[in-house]
Amino acid sequence: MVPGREEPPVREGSGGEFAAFAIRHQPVLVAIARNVCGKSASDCDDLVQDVLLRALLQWERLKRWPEPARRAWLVRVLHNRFLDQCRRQGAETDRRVDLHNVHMLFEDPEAAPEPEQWEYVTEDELRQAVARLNEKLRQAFELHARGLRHAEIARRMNTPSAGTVGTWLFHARRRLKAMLHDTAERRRQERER
Amino acid sequence: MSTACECEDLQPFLDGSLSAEDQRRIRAHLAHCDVCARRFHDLLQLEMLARLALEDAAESERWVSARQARDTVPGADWDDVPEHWKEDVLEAQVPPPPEREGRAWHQGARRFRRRCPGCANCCPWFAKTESVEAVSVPRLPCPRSSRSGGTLLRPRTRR
Repeated sequence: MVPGREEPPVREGSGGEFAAFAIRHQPVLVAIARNVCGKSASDCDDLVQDVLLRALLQWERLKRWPEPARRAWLVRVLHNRFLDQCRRQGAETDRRVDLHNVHMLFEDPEAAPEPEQWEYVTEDELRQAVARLNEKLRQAFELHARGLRHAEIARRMNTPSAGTVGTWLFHARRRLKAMLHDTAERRRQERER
Repeated sequence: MSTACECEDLQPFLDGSLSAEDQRRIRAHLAHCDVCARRFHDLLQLEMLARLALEDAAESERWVSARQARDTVPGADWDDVPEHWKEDVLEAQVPPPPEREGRAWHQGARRFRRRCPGCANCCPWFAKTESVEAVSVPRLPCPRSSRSGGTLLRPRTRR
């Protein structure tokens, strides 16, 4: 922060709610986008900006959703926009949003045909599932979620190879997915009753 | 589309641990393979959830800024990210390592930015003690400079 200048307060109302939502999710979106977009900083920025802009335009609807459903929607948008970017890189056509096709942003191709597993899983449930992993897998997964790379995790855990960390993460993800699937399925059935 | 496609590189791709060439290959593959795109979607959902639930924002920020500095600093080839990297490392001018003090630092920058003459847009890598002057030039070959010209930083000539 610049000394002598106060940060603008987060406004009350829907603008303030969106600001809080964006402030919470933007760093995570940037971290993921940086990993998948490689060294292209502009692709990464475009991707995150596009996702948050769509969230802003859909905010009247999104703000009524529970947090897990909102998060799942955000990832669907990120995924779809990223695939668009991948396809664009091999094609001549450029679908960048400009003033001529801004109306496309209001359409919602991200609406899932049916609710997916991730819309029923909360952050607390993930933490509980992570706590049930064995020591190595849990430690590797937690360090990864804090933003460390394989080599950095290997150094922290005194493991000679980054490949071993990759294997631990692979197993951790598989087990977590299986555990969370059961939780999500139970939650879905509860809601349907 | 192959329904039996079992691309094994999706997780390393998501973790950012593939080479640039492999990343391009996976991106091209994802653009056309629905099976892998669905698996990648699941991985993304778990990744987002895990980072929101488990990340320590301050620590994460420190690692990202350290990595950015490592990517940005010309000629930087150290692999170790310091354990206690300062959070405001990118806001302050990044100092050259002691062994690269002075002119060599700048020359490293020029090699790093190929064909860049050392314009003020992207080449602020002079040591603080080095005397430099800003010169206006009509046009630079640097892609970051504007078409109408820019400012070139160069070591001040000795009189």
